[in-house]
Amino acid sequence: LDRTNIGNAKIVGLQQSLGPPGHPLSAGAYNAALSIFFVSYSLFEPLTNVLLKRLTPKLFIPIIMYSPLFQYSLSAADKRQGHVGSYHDIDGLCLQLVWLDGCSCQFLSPFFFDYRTDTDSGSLVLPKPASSQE
Amino acid sequence: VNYYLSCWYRRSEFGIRAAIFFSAAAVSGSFGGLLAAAIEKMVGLGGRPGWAWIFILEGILTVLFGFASFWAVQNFPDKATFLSEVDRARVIRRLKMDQQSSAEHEEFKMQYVTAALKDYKMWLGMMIYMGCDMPLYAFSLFLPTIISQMGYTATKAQLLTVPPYACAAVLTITVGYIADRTRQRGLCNIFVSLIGIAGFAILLGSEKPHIKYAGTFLGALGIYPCISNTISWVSNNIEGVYKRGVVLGFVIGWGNLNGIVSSNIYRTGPKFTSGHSTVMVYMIVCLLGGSIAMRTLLARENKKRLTGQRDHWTRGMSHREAEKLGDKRPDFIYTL
Repeated sequence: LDRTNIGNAKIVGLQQSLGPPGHPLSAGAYNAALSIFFVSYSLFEPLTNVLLKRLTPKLFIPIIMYSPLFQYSLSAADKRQGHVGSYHDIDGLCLQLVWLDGCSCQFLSPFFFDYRTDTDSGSLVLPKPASSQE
Repeated sequence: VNYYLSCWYRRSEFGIRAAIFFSAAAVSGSFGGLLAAAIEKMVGLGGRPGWAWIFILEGILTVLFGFASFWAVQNFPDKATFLSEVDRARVIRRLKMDQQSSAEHEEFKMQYVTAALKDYKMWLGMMIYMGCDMPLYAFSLFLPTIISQMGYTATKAQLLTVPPYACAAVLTITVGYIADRTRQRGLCNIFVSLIGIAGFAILLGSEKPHIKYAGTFLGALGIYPCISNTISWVSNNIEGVYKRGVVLGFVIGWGNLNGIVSSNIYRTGPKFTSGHSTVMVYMIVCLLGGSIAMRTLLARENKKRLTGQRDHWTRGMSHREAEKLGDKRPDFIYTL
């Protein structure tokens, strides 16, 4: 249900929650967040097939099912994400999208977002994402 | 999962199994809509927004299935402990008779990775698969807009996203069955992709939301069956357990990377001219064109192998050595 649900999550207010108070996250920034999801997915696909054979499926499949999902469920349950516009929102989303793929490539997010924290309001300002034409 | 399945079954048995697995993706498209309709009622429950509930419910479900996977998942045939010695020998013999000798036992060598990288079938497979995956991801991005244009909102709108996915799931399994029987995976790709191209032509050409909704049916019918069929096709024509793993990894990985394109071309609705036309190009050039090219090249190679023009590849080799050549054995006949 993962990929489809990212679309459904948008319909039930994900984009709205991620933006600064009262505003939805811009379309460009939201698309960039979606794009991160695919990078680790693609990079790790050939590697995981070889690991599946080498570590044996009996070991590898439970590992790959659990490693992302503990993180994934916990970060959704994290109350701090209810704080619209807080740093945790976007960080949490990036983590979730990346962890969905079963790997911890948090390091990827700086390539997509130029982080700049507005210290006065404590909210995250998102300038042009690298991959957007806006 | 597809890679894992491909190591258990004969080539003509794999298509339907891959199709059933992938039809779950289409069904999850349906369930996603149903689930979202239900979740709309959960907004604000426990002080959390609706999207958090989608993630929580999905997370719980996967953790439960992950628990079952400790018992349910078995190793590859050569090390599967749930089989008796006799049964294991039988599974491997079936695979060997299908020219999959690598199922017996294979140690990892870097040589398998380079063999994969040098094989044109992998690169062509990547091209075909990107023609499936980009339109697939695009689908969930424009379908809700068309439905809202038809004047439906909320739960009814969510429910109307279900039928195109449901039809696609049925055709995916049907095509898997037909392709296994006829062993014409290439022709299946070619004919099915034409349905999808017609669908996107409707989406691009019509202004009326109801006609566009009909176009999404054809689009879904043309995309979903090609996904599992392409994976079965590529997997059928790569022999060697590790080589197949690397090739499928590259093909699936590259296909998914094209999801980035989808999430960036559907910007200005409700016409989505740039989005639909990019999808059309992907389907015509990559999916249809790539399938025609792959089928032509494989048919030519099969002809050479059947007429003995490749027999010199194994001259002076023992039977064991010849087996190690994988799909480069002169008696390995490609599935077209």
